[in-house]
Amino acid sequence: MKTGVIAVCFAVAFFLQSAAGQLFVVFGTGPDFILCFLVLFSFNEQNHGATILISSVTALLYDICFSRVIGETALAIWVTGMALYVTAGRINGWNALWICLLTAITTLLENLIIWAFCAATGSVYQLGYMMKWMLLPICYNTGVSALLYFMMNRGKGEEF
Amino acid sequence: MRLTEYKKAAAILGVFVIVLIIAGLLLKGGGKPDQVKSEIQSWIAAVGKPISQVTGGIRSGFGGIFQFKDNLREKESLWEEVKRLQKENADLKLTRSEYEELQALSKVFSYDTVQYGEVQAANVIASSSSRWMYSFTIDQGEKSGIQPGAAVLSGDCLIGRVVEVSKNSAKAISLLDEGSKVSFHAEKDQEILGMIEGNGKGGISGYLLGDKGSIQEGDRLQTSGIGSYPKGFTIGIVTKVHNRSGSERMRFDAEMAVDPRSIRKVAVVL
Repeated sequence: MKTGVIAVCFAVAFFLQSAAGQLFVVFGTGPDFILCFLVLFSFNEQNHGATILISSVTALLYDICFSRVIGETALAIWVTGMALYVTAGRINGWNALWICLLTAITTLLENLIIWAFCAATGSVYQLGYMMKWMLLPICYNTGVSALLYFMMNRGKGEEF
Repeated sequence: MRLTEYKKAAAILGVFVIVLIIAGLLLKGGGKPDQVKSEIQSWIAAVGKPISQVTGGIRSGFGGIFQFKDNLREKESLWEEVKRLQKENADLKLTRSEYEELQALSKVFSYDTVQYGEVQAANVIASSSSRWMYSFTIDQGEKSGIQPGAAVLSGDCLIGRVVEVSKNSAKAISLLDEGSKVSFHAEKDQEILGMIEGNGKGGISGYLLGDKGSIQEGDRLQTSGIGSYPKGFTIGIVTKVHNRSGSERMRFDAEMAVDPRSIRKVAVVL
Protein backbone atom coordinates (compact mmCIF):
# COMPACT_ATOMS: atom_id res chain seq x y z
CA MET A 1 0.00 0.00 0.00
CA LYS A 2 1.31 3.46 -0.88
CA THR A 3 2.49 5.80 1.88
CA GLY A 4 0.01 8.49 0.76
CA VAL A 5 -2.94 6.11 1.13
CA ILE A 6 -1.73 5.10 4.62
CA ALA A 7 -1.46 8.78 5.60
CA VAL A 8 -5.00 9.51 4.36
CA CYS A 9 -6.35 6.46 6.23
CA PHE A 10 -4.74 7.60 9.50
CA ALA A 11 -6.05 11.16 8.98
CA VAL A 12 -9.55 9.70 8.60
CA ALA A 13 -8.96 7.51 11.68
CA PHE A 14 -7.90 10.61 13.65
CA PHE A 15 -11.13 12.50 12.96
CA LEU A 16 -13.30 9.39 13.32
CA GLN A 17 -11.80 8.79 16.75
CA SER A 18 -11.98 12.35 18.02
CA ALA A 19 -14.55 14.64 16.40
CA ALA A 20 -16.86 11.88 15.10
CA GLY A 21 -16.16 9.61 18.06
CA GLN A 22 -19.56 10.13 19.70
CA LEU A 23 -21.22 8.49 16.69
CA PHE A 24 -19.66 5.13 17.58
CA VAL A 25 -19.81 5.25 21.38
CA VAL A 26 -21.48 2.23 22.99
CA PHE A 27 -21.61 1.95 26.82
CA GLY A 28 -19.17 4.85 27.07
CA THR A 29 -16.54 3.26 24.81
CA GLY A 30 -15.62 4.08 21.25
CA PRO A 31 -13.38 2.13 18.89
CA ASP A 32 -9.70 2.99 18.63
CA PHE A 33 -9.48 3.58 14.88
CA ILE A 34 -5.76 4.49 14.95
CA LEU A 35 -4.95 1.11 16.53
CA CYS A 36 -7.29 -0.78 14.18
CA PHE A 37 -5.63 0.76 11.11
CA LEU A 38 -2.18 0.08 12.60
CA VAL A 39 -2.99 -3.63 12.99
CA LEU A 40 -4.56 -3.75 9.53
CA PHE A 41 -1.58 -2.17 7.78
CA SER A 42 0.95 -4.22 9.75
CA PHE A 43 0.87 -7.13 7.35
CA ASN A 44 1.82 -4.84 4.49
CA GLU A 45 5.48 -5.48 5.29
CA GLN A 46 6.97 -3.33 2.53
CA ASN A 47 5.64 -0.18 4.17
CA HIS A 48 5.85 -1.13 7.80
CA GLY A 49 8.21 1.74 8.66
CA ALA A 50 5.86 4.33 7.15
CA THR A 51 2.89 2.75 8.97
CA ILE A 52 4.61 3.01 12.36
CA LEU A 53 5.81 6.54 11.69
CA ILE A 54 2.48 7.88 10.40
CA SER A 55 0.48 6.15 13.17
CA SER A 56 2.85 7.55 15.84
CA VAL A 57 2.60 11.08 14.42
CA THR A 58 -1.21 10.76 14.25
CA ALA A 59 -1.25 9.60 17.87
CA LEU A 60 1.00 12.51 18.83
CA LEU A 61 -1.43 14.93 17.16
CA TYR A 62 -4.25 13.24 19.09
CA ASP A 63 -2.29 13.79 22.31
CA ILE A 64 -1.59 17.45 21.50
CA CYS A 65 -5.26 18.13 20.89
CA PHE A 66 -7.13 15.85 23.26
CA SER A 67 -5.01 14.02 25.84
CA ARG A 68 -4.22 15.06 29.39
CA VAL A 69 -0.52 14.36 28.94
CA ILE A 70 1.30 14.68 25.60
CA GLY A 71 2.97 11.46 24.55
CA GLU A 72 0.74 8.82 26.19
CA THR A 73 -1.03 7.65 23.02
CA ALA A 74 2.01 8.29 20.79
CA LEU A 75 4.24 6.12 22.97
CA ALA A 76 1.61 3.38 23.23
CA ILE A 77 1.03 3.33 19.46
CA TRP A 78 4.76 3.32 18.71
CA VAL A 79 5.47 0.40 21.09
CA THR A 80 2.46 -1.46 19.69
CA GLY A 81 3.65 -0.77 16.13
CA MET A 82 7.12 -2.08 16.93
CA ALA A 83 5.63 -5.20 18.55
CA LEU A 84 3.54 -5.77 15.42
CA TYR A 85 6.64 -5.22 13.26
CA VAL A 86 8.44 -8.03 15.10
CA THR A 87 5.37 -10.28 15.02
CA ALA A 88 4.40 -9.63 11.38
CA GLY A 89 7.63 -11.14 10.02
CA ARG A 90 6.92 -14.42 11.79
CA ILE A 91 3.38 -14.91 10.55
CA ASN A 92 2.77 -16.71 7.29
CA GLY A 93 -0.63 -16.40 5.69
CA TRP A 94 -2.47 -13.48 7.27
CA ASN A 95 -6.19 -13.97 7.69
CA ALA A 96 -9.13 -12.52 9.62
CA LEU A 97 -8.35 -14.67 12.65
CA TRP A 98 -4.85 -13.21 12.95
CA ILE A 99 -6.27 -9.69 12.63
CA CYS A 100 -8.79 -10.33 15.42
CA LEU A 101 -6.23 -11.96 17.70
CA LEU A 102 -3.63 -9.24 17.21
CA THR A 103 -6.22 -6.47 17.65
CA ALA A 104 -7.31 -7.98 20.98
CA ILE A 105 -3.72 -8.32 22.24
CA THR A 106 -2.61 -4.88 21.04
CA THR A 107 -5.71 -3.19 22.55
CA LEU A 108 -4.69 -4.57 25.92
CA LEU A 109 -1.03 -3.65 25.35
CA GLU A 110 -1.88 -0.09 24.27
CA ASN A 111 -4.13 0.52 27.26
CA LEU A 112 -1.56 -0.91 29.68
CA ILE A 113 1.08 1.48 28.31
CA ILE A 114 -1.32 4.44 28.51
CA TRP A 115 -2.24 3.46 32.08
CA ALA A 116 1.46 3.17 33.06
CA PHE A 117 2.18 6.56 31.44
CA CYS A 118 -0.79 8.14 33.24
CA ALA A 119 0.17 6.54 36.57
CA ALA A 120 3.69 7.93 36.20
CA THR A 121 2.31 11.41 35.57
CA GLY A 122 -0.06 11.52 38.55
CA SER A 123 -3.30 9.95 37.30
CA VAL A 124 -5.49 8.43 40.03
CA TYR A 125 -6.82 5.45 38.03
CA GLN A 126 -6.09 2.01 39.46
CA LEU A 127 -4.94 -0.90 37.29
CA GLY A 128 -7.86 -3.08 38.46
CA TYR A 129 -10.39 -0.42 37.40
CA MET A 130 -8.77 -0.07 33.99
CA MET A 131 -8.75 -3.86 33.45
CA LYS A 132 -12.43 -4.03 34.45
CA TRP A 133 -13.29 -1.89 31.43
CA MET A 134 -11.04 -3.69 28.93
CA LEU A 135 -13.40 -6.38 27.65
CA LEU A 136 -15.67 -3.95 25.82
CA PRO A 137 -12.91 -2.06 23.92
CA ILE A 138 -11.24 -5.38 23.04
CA CYS A 139 -14.49 -6.67 21.52
CA TYR A 140 -15.22 -3.34 19.86
CA ASN A 141 -11.76 -2.91 18.30
CA THR A 142 -11.71 -6.55 17.18
CA GLY A 143 -15.07 -6.11 15.48
CA VAL A 144 -13.98 -2.89 13.74
CA SER A 145 -10.68 -4.45 12.58
CA ALA A 146 -12.48 -7.51 11.19
CA LEU A 147 -14.99 -5.27 9.40
CA LEU A 148 -12.24 -3.10 7.90
CA TYR A 149 -10.32 -6.24 6.89
CA PHE A 150 -13.29 -7.67 5.00
CA MET A 151 -14.00 -4.27 3.39
CA MET A 152 -10.40 -3.97 2.19
CA ASN A 153 -10.28 -7.54 0.96
CA ARG A 154 -13.56 -7.53 -0.90
CA GLY A 155 -12.93 -9.24 -4.21
CA LYS A 156 -9.29 -9.97 -3.37
CA GLY A 157 -9.70 -13.35 -1.73
CA GLU A 158 -8.85 -14.11 1.88
CA GLU A 159 -5.26 -12.88 1.93
CA PHE A 160 -3.67 -9.59 0.88
CA MET B 1 16.78 -10.47 10.59
CA ARG B 2 18.65 -9.18 7.53
CA LEU B 3 20.88 -6.06 7.55
CA THR B 4 18.31 -4.03 5.59
CA GLU B 5 15.68 -4.83 8.22
CA TYR B 6 18.01 -3.57 10.96
CA LYS B 7 18.52 -0.38 8.98
CA LYS B 8 14.79 0.00 8.63
CA ALA B 9 14.27 -0.53 12.37
CA ALA B 10 17.05 1.95 13.16
CA ALA B 11 15.47 4.52 10.83
CA ILE B 12 12.10 4.10 12.54
CA LEU B 13 13.74 4.51 15.95
CA GLY B 14 15.64 7.59 14.79
CA VAL B 15 12.53 9.26 13.41
CA PHE B 16 10.66 8.50 16.60
CA VAL B 17 13.41 10.04 18.71
CA ILE B 18 13.06 13.22 16.61
CA VAL B 19 9.29 13.14 17.10
CA LEU B 20 9.81 12.75 20.87
CA ILE B 21 12.16 15.74 20.91
CA ILE B 22 9.55 17.83 19.07
CA ALA B 23 6.95 16.61 21.57
CA GLY B 24 9.24 17.63 24.41
CA LEU B 25 9.64 21.11 22.94
CA LEU B 26 5.88 21.40 22.54
CA LEU B 27 5.41 20.33 26.15
CA LYS B 28 7.38 23.31 27.41
CA GLY B 29 4.27 25.49 27.38
CA GLY B 30 2.70 23.74 30.38
CA GLY B 31 -0.86 24.97 31.09
CA LYS B 32 -0.65 27.59 28.35
CA PRO B 33 0.52 26.04 25.08
CA ASP B 34 3.17 27.72 22.99
CA GLN B 35 2.54 29.11 19.53
CA VAL B 36 3.06 25.91 17.48
CA LYS B 37 0.94 23.75 19.76
CA SER B 38 -1.77 26.40 19.96
CA GLU B 39 -1.88 26.67 16.15
CA ILE B 40 -2.18 22.88 15.77
CA GLN B 41 -4.98 22.74 18.35
CA SER B 42 -6.86 25.66 16.77
CA TRP B 43 -6.57 24.20 13.27
CA ILE B 44 -7.77 20.76 14.34
CA ALA B 45 -10.57 22.30 16.43
CA ALA B 46 -11.69 24.25 13.34
CA VAL B 47 -11.81 21.07 11.23
CA GLY B 48 -13.26 18.93 14.02
CA LYS B 49 -16.08 21.29 15.05
CA PRO B 50 -18.32 20.82 11.95
CA ILE B 51 -17.64 17.05 11.96
CA SER B 52 -18.63 16.91 15.63
CA GLN B 53 -21.82 18.91 14.99
CA VAL B 54 -22.87 16.68 12.07
CA THR B 55 -22.14 13.39 13.89
CA GLY B 56 -23.77 14.69 17.08
CA GLY B 57 -26.90 15.52 15.04
CA ILE B 58 -26.93 12.07 13.43
CA ARG B 59 -26.55 10.31 16.78
CA SER B 60 -29.24 12.32 18.55
CA GLY B 61 -31.56 11.91 15.52
CA PHE B 62 -31.25 8.12 15.48
CA GLY B 63 -31.25 7.97 19.27
CA GLY B 64 -34.62 9.75 19.28
CA ILE B 65 -36.18 7.05 17.09
CA PHE B 66 -35.03 4.16 19.26
CA GLN B 67 -35.55 5.86 22.62
CA PHE B 68 -39.01 7.34 22.26
CA LYS B 69 -40.19 5.85 25.58
CA ASP B 70 -37.27 7.44 27.40
CA ASN B 71 -38.02 10.71 25.59
CA LEU B 72 -41.64 10.61 26.78
CA ARG B 73 -40.48 10.06 30.36
CA GLU B 74 -37.99 12.90 29.96
CA LYS B 75 -40.76 15.15 28.61
CA GLU B 76 -42.87 14.45 31.72
CA SER B 77 -39.99 15.25 34.05
CA LEU B 78 -39.20 18.41 32.06
CA TRP B 79 -42.79 19.59 32.48
CA GLU B 80 -42.42 19.12 36.23
CA GLU B 81 -39.14 21.04 36.07
CA VAL B 82 -40.77 23.89 34.11
CA LYS B 83 -43.51 24.22 36.74
CA ARG B 84 -40.92 24.26 39.54
CA LEU B 85 -38.79 26.83 37.70
CA GLN B 86 -41.79 29.08 37.03
CA LYS B 87 -42.47 29.19 40.77
CA GLU B 88 -38.77 29.78 41.48
CA ASN B 89 -38.74 32.55 38.87
CA ALA B 90 -41.61 34.32 40.62
CA ASP B 91 -39.70 34.17 43.92
CA LEU B 92 -36.51 35.41 42.23
CA LYS B 93 -38.31 38.46 40.80
CA LEU B 94 -38.98 39.53 44.37
CA THR B 95 -35.36 38.85 45.34
CA ARG B 96 -34.13 40.78 42.29
CA SER B 97 -35.97 43.94 43.28
CA GLU B 98 -34.30 43.66 46.70
CA TYR B 99 -30.93 43.10 44.99
CA GLU B 100 -31.39 46.20 42.81
CA GLU B 101 -32.21 48.26 45.86
CA LEU B 102 -29.03 46.99 47.55
CA GLN B 103 -26.95 47.74 44.45
CA ALA B 104 -28.28 51.30 44.39
CA LEU B 105 -27.35 51.63 48.03
CA SER B 106 -23.85 50.21 47.42
CA LYS B 107 -23.29 52.91 44.77
CA VAL B 108 -24.37 55.61 47.17
CA PHE B 109 -21.88 54.35 49.78
CA SER B 110 -19.15 53.48 47.16
CA TYR B 111 -19.15 49.86 48.39
CA ASP B 112 -17.61 47.19 46.09
CA THR B 113 -20.03 44.29 45.72
CA VAL B 114 -18.74 40.78 45.16
CA GLN B 115 -18.63 40.00 41.42
CA TYR B 116 -19.46 36.41 40.48
CA GLY B 117 -17.62 34.97 37.49
CA GLU B 118 -19.33 35.13 34.13
CA VAL B 119 -20.09 31.92 32.32
CA GLN B 120 -19.14 30.97 28.75
CA ALA B 121 -21.18 28.29 26.97
CA ALA B 122 -19.22 25.75 24.91
CA ASN B 123 -19.73 22.57 22.88
CA VAL B 124 -17.77 19.38 23.46
CA ILE B 125 -16.13 18.81 20.07
CA ALA B 126 -14.03 15.76 20.94
CA SER B 127 -13.55 13.33 23.79
CA SER B 128 -11.35 10.40 24.73
CA SER B 129 -12.62 7.08 23.42
CA SER B 130 -11.73 4.96 26.44
CA ARG B 131 -14.21 4.14 29.19
CA TRP B 132 -11.75 4.11 32.07
CA MET B 133 -10.52 7.69 31.67
CA TYR B 134 -12.23 10.79 30.41
CA SER B 135 -10.98 14.06 29.01
CA PHE B 136 -12.68 16.28 26.46
CA THR B 137 -12.09 19.28 24.23
CA ILE B 138 -14.43 22.26 23.96
CA ASP B 139 -14.85 24.75 21.10
CA GLN B 140 -14.09 27.88 23.15
CA GLY B 141 -10.66 29.03 24.22
CA GLU B 142 -8.48 31.99 25.05
CA LYS B 143 -10.45 34.31 22.74
CA SER B 144 -13.55 33.75 24.90
CA GLY B 145 -11.61 34.49 28.08
CA ILE B 146 -11.20 30.90 29.26
CA GLN B 147 -8.18 30.30 31.49
CA PRO B 148 -6.48 27.09 32.71
CA GLY B 149 -8.07 25.91 35.96
CA ALA B 150 -11.53 27.31 35.12
CA ALA B 151 -14.46 25.23 36.42
CA VAL B 152 -16.50 23.33 33.81
CA LEU B 153 -20.22 22.96 34.55
CA SER B 154 -23.25 21.17 33.24
CA GLY B 155 -26.32 22.99 34.51
CA ASP B 156 -25.60 23.58 38.19
CA CYS B 157 -23.26 20.59 38.43
CA LEU B 158 -19.47 20.75 38.48
CA ILE B 159 -18.00 18.20 36.07
CA GLY B 160 -14.33 19.17 35.82
CA ARG B 161 -11.81 21.84 35.05
CA VAL B 162 -9.90 23.27 32.10
CA VAL B 163 -6.29 22.06 31.96
CA GLU B 164 -5.04 23.70 28.79
CA VAL B 165 -6.20 26.56 26.60
CA SER B 166 -5.43 27.46 22.99
CA LYS B 167 -6.90 30.30 20.92
CA ASN B 168 -10.17 28.61 19.92
CA SER B 169 -10.33 25.46 22.01
CA ALA B 170 -9.59 24.14 25.47
CA LYS B 171 -8.84 20.73 26.98
CA ALA B 172 -10.70 19.74 30.13
CA ILE B 173 -10.66 16.75 32.46
CA SER B 174 -13.48 15.42 34.59
CA LEU B 175 -13.46 15.44 38.39
CA LEU B 176 -12.97 11.66 38.23
CA ASP B 177 -9.51 12.20 36.74
CA GLU B 178 -8.54 14.72 39.34
CA GLY B 179 -5.64 13.99 41.60
CA SER B 180 -6.35 17.21 43.51
CA LYS B 181 -8.95 17.57 46.23
CA VAL B 182 -12.12 19.68 45.99
CA SER B 183 -13.58 21.33 49.07
CA PHE B 184 -17.32 20.76 49.60
CA HIS B 185 -20.19 21.38 51.98
CA ALA B 186 -23.33 19.31 52.35
CA GLU B 187 -26.37 20.83 50.62
CA LYS B 188 -28.55 20.21 53.71
CA ASP B 189 -26.14 21.99 56.07
CA GLN B 190 -23.35 24.32 54.95
CA GLU B 191 -21.58 23.82 58.28
CA ILE B 192 -20.72 20.24 57.24
CA LEU B 193 -17.44 20.65 55.36
CA GLY B 194 -15.07 18.15 53.78
CA MET B 195 -12.75 17.23 50.94
CA ILE B 196 -13.43 15.03 47.94
CA GLU B 197 -11.36 13.61 45.05
CA GLY B 198 -11.42 11.00 42.28
CA ASN B 199 -10.84 7.55 43.80
CA GLY B 200 -9.32 5.89 40.73
CA LYS B 201 -12.24 3.46 40.50
CA GLY B 202 -14.59 5.63 38.46
CA GLY B 203 -16.13 7.36 41.45
CA ILE B 204 -15.28 10.01 44.01
CA SER B 205 -14.39 9.52 47.67
CA GLY B 206 -14.02 11.98 50.48
CA TYR B 207 -14.01 12.70 54.17
CA LEU B 208 -15.51 15.24 56.55
CA LEU B 209 -13.49 17.95 58.23
CA GLY B 210 -14.22 18.41 61.91
CA ASP B 211 -16.93 16.76 63.94
CA LYS B 212 -19.86 19.03 63.02
CA GLY B 213 -22.75 16.94 61.78
CA SER B 214 -22.71 13.84 59.62
CA ILE B 215 -23.81 12.76 56.18
CA GLN B 216 -25.99 9.91 54.96
CA GLU B 217 -26.46 8.08 51.69
CA GLY B 218 -28.30 10.27 49.20
CA ASP B 219 -26.97 13.58 50.57
CA ARG B 220 -25.94 16.05 47.88
CA LEU B 221 -22.52 17.70 48.05
CA GLN B 222 -21.77 21.21 46.78
CA THR B 223 -18.58 23.19 46.21
CA SER B 224 -17.82 25.23 49.31
CA GLY B 225 -16.05 28.09 47.50
CA ILE B 226 -12.79 27.36 49.32
CA GLY B 227 -10.05 26.88 46.72
CA SER B 228 -10.33 27.32 42.97
CA TYR B 229 -13.96 26.29 42.41
CA PRO B 230 -16.83 28.75 42.85
CA LYS B 231 -19.36 28.12 45.62
CA GLY B 232 -22.71 26.35 45.33
CA PHE B 233 -22.30 23.92 42.42
CA THR B 234 -23.39 20.33 42.92
CA ILE B 235 -20.49 17.87 42.89
CA GLY B 236 -22.15 14.54 43.61
CA ILE B 237 -24.41 12.36 45.68
CA VAL B 238 -23.21 10.19 48.59
CA THR B 239 -23.58 6.49 47.80
CA LYS B 240 -21.89 4.83 50.77
CA VAL B 241 -20.78 6.00 54.21
CA HIS B 242 -17.94 3.97 55.75
CA ASN B 243 -17.99 2.94 59.39
CA ARG B 244 -15.46 4.79 61.48
CA SER B 245 -13.73 3.81 64.65
CA GLY B 246 -12.67 6.15 67.46
CA SER B 247 -11.54 9.59 66.36
CA GLU B 248 -11.26 8.62 62.69
CA ARG B 249 -12.75 11.03 60.16
CA MET B 250 -16.07 10.12 58.55
CA ARG B 251 -15.27 8.72 55.09
CA PHE B 252 -17.66 8.06 52.22
CA ASP B 253 -17.98 7.22 48.53
CA ALA B 254 -20.04 9.27 46.11
CA GLU B 255 -21.01 9.39 42.47
CA MET B 256 -20.92 12.46 40.28
CA ALA B 257 -24.26 14.25 39.91
CA VAL B 258 -24.03 13.95 36.10
CA ASP B 259 -22.07 11.54 33.94
CA PRO B 260 -19.58 13.76 32.07
CA ARG B 261 -19.45 11.24 29.19
CA SER B 262 -23.04 11.99 28.21
CA ILE B 263 -22.60 15.76 28.00
CA ARG B 264 -22.31 17.65 24.70
CA LYS B 265 -22.75 21.20 26.01
CA VAL B 266 -20.97 22.74 28.97
CA ALA B 267 -20.50 26.11 30.67
CA VAL B 268 -17.12 27.41 31.76
CA VAL B 269 -16.78 29.86 34.65
CA LEU B 270 -14.53 32.71 33.47
